[in-house]
Amino acid sequence: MCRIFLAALLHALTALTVLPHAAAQEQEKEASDQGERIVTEAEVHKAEHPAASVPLRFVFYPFHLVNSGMESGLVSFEKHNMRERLNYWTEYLRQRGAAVSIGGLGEGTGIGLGGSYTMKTGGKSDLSFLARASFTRGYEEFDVRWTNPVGRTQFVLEGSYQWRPQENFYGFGMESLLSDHTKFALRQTWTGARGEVALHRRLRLGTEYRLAWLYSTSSPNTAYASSGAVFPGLPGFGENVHLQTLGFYADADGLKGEYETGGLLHAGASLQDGLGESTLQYFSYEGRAEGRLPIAAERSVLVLQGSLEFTRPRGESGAIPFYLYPHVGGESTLRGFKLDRFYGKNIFLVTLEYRYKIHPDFQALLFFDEGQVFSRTSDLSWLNWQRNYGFGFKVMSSRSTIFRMDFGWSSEGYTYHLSWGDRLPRVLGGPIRYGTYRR
Amino acid sequence: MTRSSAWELSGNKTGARGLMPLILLICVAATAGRMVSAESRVTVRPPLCVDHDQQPIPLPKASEVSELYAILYNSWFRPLNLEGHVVRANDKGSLNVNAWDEVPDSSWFTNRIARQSVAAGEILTSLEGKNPEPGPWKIVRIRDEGYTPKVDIRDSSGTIYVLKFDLPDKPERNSAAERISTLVMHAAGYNVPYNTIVYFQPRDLELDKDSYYRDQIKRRRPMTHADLESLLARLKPRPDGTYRGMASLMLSGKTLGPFVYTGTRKDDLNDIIPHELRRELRGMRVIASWINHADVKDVNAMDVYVTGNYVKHYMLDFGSTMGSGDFIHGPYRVGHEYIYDGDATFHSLITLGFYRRPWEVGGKIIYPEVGYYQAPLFDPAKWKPNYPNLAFLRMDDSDAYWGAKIVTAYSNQMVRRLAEAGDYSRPELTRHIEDVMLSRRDAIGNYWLDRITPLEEFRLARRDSGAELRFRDLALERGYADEGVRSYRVRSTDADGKELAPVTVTRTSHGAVGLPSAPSQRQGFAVPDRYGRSPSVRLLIQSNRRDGGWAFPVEVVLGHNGESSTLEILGWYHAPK
Repeated sequence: MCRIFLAALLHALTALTVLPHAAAQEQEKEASDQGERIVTEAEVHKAEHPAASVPLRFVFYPFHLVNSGMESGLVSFEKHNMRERLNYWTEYLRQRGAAVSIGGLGEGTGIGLGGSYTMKTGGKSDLSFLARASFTRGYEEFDVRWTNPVGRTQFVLEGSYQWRPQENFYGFGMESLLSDHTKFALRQTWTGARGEVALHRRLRLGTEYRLAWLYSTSSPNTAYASSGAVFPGLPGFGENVHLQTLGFYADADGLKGEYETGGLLHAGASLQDGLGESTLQYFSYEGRAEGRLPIAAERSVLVLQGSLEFTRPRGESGAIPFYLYPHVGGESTLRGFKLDRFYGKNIFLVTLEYRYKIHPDFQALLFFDEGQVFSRTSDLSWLNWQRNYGFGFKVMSSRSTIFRMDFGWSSEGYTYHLSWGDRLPRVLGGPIRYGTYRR
Repeated sequence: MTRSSAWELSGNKTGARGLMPLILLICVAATAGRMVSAESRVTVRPPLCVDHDQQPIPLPKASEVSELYAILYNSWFRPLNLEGHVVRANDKGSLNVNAWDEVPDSSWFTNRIARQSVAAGEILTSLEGKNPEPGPWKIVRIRDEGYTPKVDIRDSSGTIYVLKFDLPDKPERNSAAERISTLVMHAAGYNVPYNTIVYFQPRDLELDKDSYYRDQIKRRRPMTHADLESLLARLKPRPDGTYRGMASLMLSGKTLGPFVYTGTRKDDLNDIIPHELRRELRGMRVIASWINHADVKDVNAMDVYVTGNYVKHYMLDFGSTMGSGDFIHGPYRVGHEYIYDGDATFHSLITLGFYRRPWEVGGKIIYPEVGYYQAPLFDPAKWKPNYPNLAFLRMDDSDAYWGAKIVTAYSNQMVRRLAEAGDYSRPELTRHIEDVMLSRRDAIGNYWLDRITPLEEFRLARRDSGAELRFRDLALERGYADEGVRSYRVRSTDADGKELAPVTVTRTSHGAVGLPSAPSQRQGFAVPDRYGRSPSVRLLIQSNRRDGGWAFPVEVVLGHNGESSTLEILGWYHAPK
């Protein structure tokens, strides 16, 4: 056949009518332009739905359904300018001293809502009220604070009430068992005064005095055993504890931008003294340090953090209530462990974290945490750390964290932590349980 | 880019975006059987210069799109859709392509520079519309949207324009970019509004009796002089006290909202070709890369129901082109990476940030009036818009070649006139823009016209020793190939893919190759297509690349037309799959 083709070629070429190309093409084009479409609907259908994709269309039907719903929702969201409205009303409220917060009262407190209102009380002083409650776990909080800055000093009067019905307790020490997971409820009310002086733009010294009324009891969550039932004779369980605290602290804050070189140091000490018939009397010492080393400018940073808390009974002190012991586990300490997994008189914690800016409002992080609880300094073992590693994501606004997720792996398996909003640690720890989940 | 061809072994490695191995495996498995059958017979695309998609239709419903959805879906969710990967792997190329590998004229696109040479001056004058009449301009409303201030004005003839302004710390930047890019896109063939740079005195602006202000949450109230003063206070006057703005003529017709770069508008009966399968949208990636139009997105497009009762499709808002894109992670990211770029992020993440992207190290702004519009770091194959665009992702080598053919059709003179159209106050800014545009144009030409055999306008000619195939070699004409070493490799098969003659290699710079043997007589078994054409010979012609290999071929189909017994060129197609 090929030979026949070859033989015929010369004949064909001599017979070839050579038209000027452009003219030939135009002739063909004009003759063909009869109002037709360049493609038929059948050809479109074939191109749009290749046979290989047909089974997947059914498999991915739910995906398309969700996608379609998301599109409709977001179109409606933008059509009604919801984002702009939200910003507008947020700013409107903020200018009037009011703010709405989403989230609970700290890590593990469930989904909640709250609001704050700040009013000027003359000069630079202001009075603020904050109320929050979580719907899913029943946590409640109401705070009042009066702040009066004068020059380099600041004077603060505070009062707080918290109902924390689902706190975790697993027993004391590193050998406590995950299977001994219990819950207890804590009611804490306190009031206090704080004075602070800024010796330098980045150096502050302060002192604080607090009066606290604390009471622990069984958790209303009966899905878990009560701490008092599993650990009979738990000091402070079912008892009212009244105490006063006097403490001092110093903060050197050299942090600049999120992805810039910097560091901070914090040191504090306080004396807890039981009131009434209580013989409780102990010292708390705390220290925190953080250093940041940028890897890529404005994009990624290595963060090294270390913290320690020591508890030292004074003289013939009565037993320290179990919930006042330092504890680790959870998003702000050991992220591969459940919240408040280890209680002990003393804790030592080190964290190495790599933070990477995916987007100005979106951060990814890899972390390695290592911590230990121990009763005496001599028990501190360099071979007996609880370790975990993992990764997380953080959604931020220009002002604060909106949402964060952390996934951690440890010897006890993996766990994840979700939290809304963020909350700085209190300037001085001591006997108050406080939902802190900001790093 | 997508590609699946036996010719791939002779081409450059494509920049196929990373699919997960599993997805790739499934896609390949799903397409393997079909690839074999696809090569079995030669077909030629329709010989139409016009796609008649302007039939009268009832007024479609206005539609809205969500930019947030587009970002979220395209950046995060679309890659999870396995079906989409399979469809993409089975992509056989753009649908609206004619026998001569062109896009026919339609309500989307009108061939201008792609089909005929355009005089340098014509590029400035061919845009339909007129400047606002001088004299007082009545402000209809102030728009509190976008990141540059804008107002709607009515000139003395009653014509309405959107008047946009430059940011005070980046004078001339956005307005110049918009003017230049509008002209580029128009000359390329797209429907664009009439955008022009205007100058005015503050006294030229007056409040209309019905003028109003609409704030961010769409609350409307009558506009006051305080609003006008507040607006002017946000602008930076020129040394002579005048202000500069970009006047954009309102589109005539009923606006229906944006078109999206995927699927069709269901109530537009003319809109039968999925947009991701339209060549003018897929190939626009190359044109967009030239002018750094990273802000290509649904909301910057507009469907308009025009006289004649059909829908015309416009491209809008070029104010963020060239160096004007101050986006998230910008300005140096723009054009190099998506806002959320998984691959780039992964590389930085696993190297703990020690890996620095080239633009992080080398990106710099020379003139604030121009912004980040540069040539040294421009890579035509890797250019990206701000977030994935499905039409761009589906661009294959044929589409890219089409886009490159258009970009390289802008002569040096035209580029100079375009740069001048930016009306920069300093000559060095005009020169800078011109230099960057020329460099980027040449980078596009050097890459795409080297990668794909850039031959056009084939014709058969008789010569003493037989016959030859003549053509235009765009790479030679436009200076992207070396005349001294220009070679072509020709492979010929019959309609069923059977080799007709040994592969020949011809070294020439005269735009002609000798024809190998081919069937001349009508074959009894050849069934004519719906246009009466019976393809009988397929020539695959490859030009040599600078690196010594062979470019992706152009397929030229010969056969008989109607009852004619004469062998003719029925059409051609670049980089067939």
